[in-house]
Amino acid sequence: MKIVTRRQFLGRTLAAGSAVTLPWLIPARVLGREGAVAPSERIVLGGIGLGPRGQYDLSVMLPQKDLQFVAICDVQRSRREKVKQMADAHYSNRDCVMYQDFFELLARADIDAVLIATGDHWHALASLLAAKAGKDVYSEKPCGMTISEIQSLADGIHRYARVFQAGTQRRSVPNFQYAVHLAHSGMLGRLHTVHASVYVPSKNYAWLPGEPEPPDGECDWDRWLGPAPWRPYNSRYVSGGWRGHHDFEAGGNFLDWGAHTVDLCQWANQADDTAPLEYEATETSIIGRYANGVQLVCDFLPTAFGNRDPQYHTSTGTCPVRFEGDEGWVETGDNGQLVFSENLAKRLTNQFAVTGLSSAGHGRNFFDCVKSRAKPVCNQDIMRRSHLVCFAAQLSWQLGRKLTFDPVKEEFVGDEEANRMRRRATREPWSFNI
Amino acid sequence: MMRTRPVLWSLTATCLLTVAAVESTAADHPAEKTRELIAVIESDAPLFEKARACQQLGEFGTAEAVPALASLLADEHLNAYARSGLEGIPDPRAAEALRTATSSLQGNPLAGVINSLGLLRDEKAVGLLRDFANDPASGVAGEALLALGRIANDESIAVLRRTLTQDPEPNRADAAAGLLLAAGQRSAKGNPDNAAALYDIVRRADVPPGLRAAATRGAIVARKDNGVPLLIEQLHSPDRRFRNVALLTIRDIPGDPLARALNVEVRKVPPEMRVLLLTALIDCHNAQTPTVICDLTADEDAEVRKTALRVLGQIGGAGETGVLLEAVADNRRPEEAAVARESLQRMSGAAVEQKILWALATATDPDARVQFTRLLESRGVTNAVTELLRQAADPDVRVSVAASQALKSLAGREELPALIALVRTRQDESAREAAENAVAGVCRRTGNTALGSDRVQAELMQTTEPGLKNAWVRILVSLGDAGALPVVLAAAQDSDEGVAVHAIEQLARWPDAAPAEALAALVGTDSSPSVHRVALGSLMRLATTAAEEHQRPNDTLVSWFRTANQAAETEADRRLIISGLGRLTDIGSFRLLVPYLDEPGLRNEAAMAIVQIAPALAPDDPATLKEALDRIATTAGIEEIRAKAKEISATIPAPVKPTSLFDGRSLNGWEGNPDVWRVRDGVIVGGSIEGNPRNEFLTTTSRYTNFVLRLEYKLVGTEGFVNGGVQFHSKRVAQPANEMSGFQADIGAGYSGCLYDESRRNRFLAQAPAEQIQRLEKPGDWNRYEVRCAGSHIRILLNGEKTVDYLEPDPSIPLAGLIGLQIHGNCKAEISFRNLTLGPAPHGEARANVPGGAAAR
Repeated sequence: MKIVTRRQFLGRTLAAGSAVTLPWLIPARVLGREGAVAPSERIVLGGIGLGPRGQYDLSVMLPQKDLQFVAICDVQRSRREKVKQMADAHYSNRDCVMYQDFFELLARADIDAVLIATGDHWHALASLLAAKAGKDVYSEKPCGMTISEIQSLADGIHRYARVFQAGTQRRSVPNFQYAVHLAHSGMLGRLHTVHASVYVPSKNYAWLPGEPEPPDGECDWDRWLGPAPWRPYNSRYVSGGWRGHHDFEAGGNFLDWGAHTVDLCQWANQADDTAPLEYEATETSIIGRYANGVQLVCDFLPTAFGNRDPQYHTSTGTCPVRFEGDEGWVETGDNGQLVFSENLAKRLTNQFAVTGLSSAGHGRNFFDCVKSRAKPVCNQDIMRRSHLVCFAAQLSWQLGRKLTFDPVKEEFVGDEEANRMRRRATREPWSFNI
Repeated sequence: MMRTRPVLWSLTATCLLTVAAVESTAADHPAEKTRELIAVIESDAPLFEKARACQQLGEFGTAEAVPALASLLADEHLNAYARSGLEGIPDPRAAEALRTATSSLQGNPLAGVINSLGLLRDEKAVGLLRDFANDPASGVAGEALLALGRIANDESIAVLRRTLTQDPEPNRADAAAGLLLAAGQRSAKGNPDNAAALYDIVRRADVPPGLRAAATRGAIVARKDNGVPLLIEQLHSPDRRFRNVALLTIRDIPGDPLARALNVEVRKVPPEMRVLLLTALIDCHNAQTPTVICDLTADEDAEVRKTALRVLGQIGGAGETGVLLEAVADNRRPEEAAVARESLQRMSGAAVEQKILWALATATDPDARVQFTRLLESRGVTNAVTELLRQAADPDVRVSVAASQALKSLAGREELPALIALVRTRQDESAREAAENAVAGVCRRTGNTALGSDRVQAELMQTTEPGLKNAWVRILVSLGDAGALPVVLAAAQDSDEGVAVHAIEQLARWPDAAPAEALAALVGTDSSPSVHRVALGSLMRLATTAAEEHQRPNDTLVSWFRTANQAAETEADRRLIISGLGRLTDIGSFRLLVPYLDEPGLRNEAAMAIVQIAPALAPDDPATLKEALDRIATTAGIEEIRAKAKEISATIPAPVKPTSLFDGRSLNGWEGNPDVWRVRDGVIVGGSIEGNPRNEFLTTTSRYTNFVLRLEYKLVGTEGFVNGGVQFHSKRVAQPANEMSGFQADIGAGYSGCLYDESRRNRFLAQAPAEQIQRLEKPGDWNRYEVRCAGSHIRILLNGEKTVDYLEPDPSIPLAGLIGLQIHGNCKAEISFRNLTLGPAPHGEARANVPGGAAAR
């Protein structure tokens, strides 16, 4: 219970009344479709492995009028049923079909696209198998477990002529777009440093104690493992506890935030077709160096939500990034707030606050592209580079030495061990020979 | 695919603990490390350790590890780990071991090994892979065909081509997928012609259409510009999969040849495809494309027209502005007008701006001019201000309003006189209001509030027309420049009651509480009902904000609310007052609220307000506060408020009843040196007439705040500094351990009745006049001492008369702590205490309005 103060009230009305036009935004056909195709044409979507994150993605996609979500596959019964409930409640019907085996879902000719939000270790392979089955793919990040998986995935999406969107939705969120716009437009002067916040990476290979496998129909452990190397079942893994385990979480959790924040840095530095050439870890960060001289600093944030002075302003929320040029800097994060250096703030006429986080616009961009066949803002090529940068940075930290990377050959220069760590074997019978 | 269902949960928690001792990232001595890891694999180590060893061998192991790794390939759990090791080791022996393993394995482990051979592009495996592919019983024909595709040498491709034409359907599909892999490989190796040939084979093969569509994309991309005809052909395919391939591939091979073809094709295809092709032109166009799209803005199909207008915004230039401006002005097609406007906003360049400006100057249709004006505003065209001023003077109200709105964000200080003149001349309300906003907006944006305020004041003083007076007042209040307040207050007393009421109403928006006193005066006087009502409302708005932001001392704020409260006539007035009091954390505010708990129509609001300020008030007047909260907890009409009141009440201790600090028999509840402090004849005695080497204190074991301490003391001494005292809000100090720091009500000749700061500031904070003490104190006999502590307000009474009245100004000084009795060192003296009682702090004296008052918590 809180009485709304007058100032809060005024503050809100002011925000609502001060809509500014932002001509630099990516086509903002966010709410409902426009143009493109006749309204009778719907995109038919299926879901694969939708836990809490996937269910969030779905919840912001469902309101799209040109979308019909018809099927869910999950190896866990409880999750299948939860998603079916969501979809059926939305459409007021009982039509959402549940599958335990995603090949059955992929075999449905009526399904145009799939939303994939399994654990990290399934993303690349499920995306690739979906592409081969003729489906367009929206996959949560990180999109693969190794450099090799990312390469196979990106190549395969091209090979099967599919549309792919990585769930790095911040490219579709206005505050991040605006921060990048400032970097691109020269408002920061010459860009010299791009900061990406990341978790402190970890190396945890240990197995949890074995438990009896759940009965068939409740949770299919063999399918849950899929391409990941075998280990005994433990219920913690399948209820989100896979996080922090190196065999299940990409890059020792470096990519959990890095897939977003490094991606934004790549974008800000207009480096979507390349990568930093050198990587070196320090106590508090991993530093990369681009050919154009810009530094990429991946700052380790000990806590995701707490105080993060002096690296970042606490007020900007999770996943903050900061772009620094010789004439100013901008920082932003998930709460939508933008913080500017004083000298930049003076020059800005549009200072706006928006709420970050929502992936609705990102989904919309994907659906528009499913129809137009244009490349989504986080297509397989953009994703490939951003993810490779993350893996290269994480490997330099793991190996504890400076690494030199060739962005064209996508290999490390003069470091056999690092190159060997670009891949791992896929558990039989799964394979990336697709 | 085969499924295994291992039940191997006998693996226990030991797995967690057995991160192998050889775990290391930098393999400085790979040979040595390899041998250690081989030993792990060959030992009885737990499965986890073997698995981890395999992974590490894949990262840095030498060929020496190959046999050990190969020995694990048959293990259903370790197969993939072993292959991680083997795939990693860059030595032909690793591949050889994999090939050898194929002869003894079957099922999933065999499939895994075949997959690995493919990933390693092991050309020596082609023969055995061909055999597996040809053997329907092998169960791994598909894996073998895909591995052959990955290897992509002439021999493997020959196997795939033969399978594509001769084998049954499932094998053909896998062979096709294999050929797609192989073609990609050839393309990457710089052999696009060969790749194109392979793609052609697949797209013409009898395989599922998805594979043929994928091959078609490959065939186009491998040919680049020469693939344009094939791409165009797909645009006309009856199968949507192939049309989609064409659309997608446009983005893969953009360039002039394709753009030229698309410029032609976009006119030929049916509307649905035309829309899609138009969108694709964003990603592939040439210099002629905008002209083509301009034509399509006149298409028969509305969707095509809209798309054309949208695409022009992305690839058009100044040359296309005319078409867009026409669409914007065409009010028969509002959807298209909206798209065109969005496109014009997006297009950059001064030439575009000049065209819009020209369109505005020459257009006659008011709707069109409104649209053009908004465009100039959103594009931030500052050199449009002259034209916009002309439009603002237009008889059409909509045009004028739009122009004023644009001027608000575009005009500069130089335009202020013109804008002020606009306010003066516009008669209709909305146009005048827009002009007012423009004046205020420009002043604020350009940092000229004082200048603008001066100019507008001059206007206000000259005018006699009530409507105009109101306009100037509105601007002055919006600007909120302090210098304009007297003029606005004068308007609040204008002989025209309409003007007066309007000004008073506007004062509610004043940026600070400066007009409050004047408003309070108006509320208190016998003004007309409407003036009274509006003044009360404005006063409450200002007072509420002032309370939230602590703009004034609480006393002042309380007095404003009290004035309003006395003058309130209607329930609405009282509701406003209660709402404001809910933001004023002060005991005075609380007292004004309590009576409203009895008014049925306002009970809930009052309860909510009390609940809101109560947590911060708790220590001031606990008894009354607790009583009010308990009442709210049982009687409030809203469950949430009842719960909250109950919750807060629980945090307030029950009122302190006078209690004895000394039981007359023992030192229970006290601590101090037993050699110095004792009980004798129902009296606490400290020190000795034989001599006291140093200061000694007897302290309570509990801490106290806000109390009245009463006691009697008797100090008898013969030699030295005969002195003692009563500590409060104090603590023991660590060094020296016998000392205390904090307030002291001093005892001793010349000092009794005075307030000393012991071992802290080491000075008297307040002293009583010597003659008063001389009159009051009975040396060597029993004297009554009373120490009253209420927040920062401290008073000392000696034998019933006040000797010290002190307000602690320093907020960092604690206002709670131990009570202590002192006998001074360096004297031969004995001090006695009796009748020590502690009672609650006097009500309403806790929160003196000084800094530090709040620290009483």
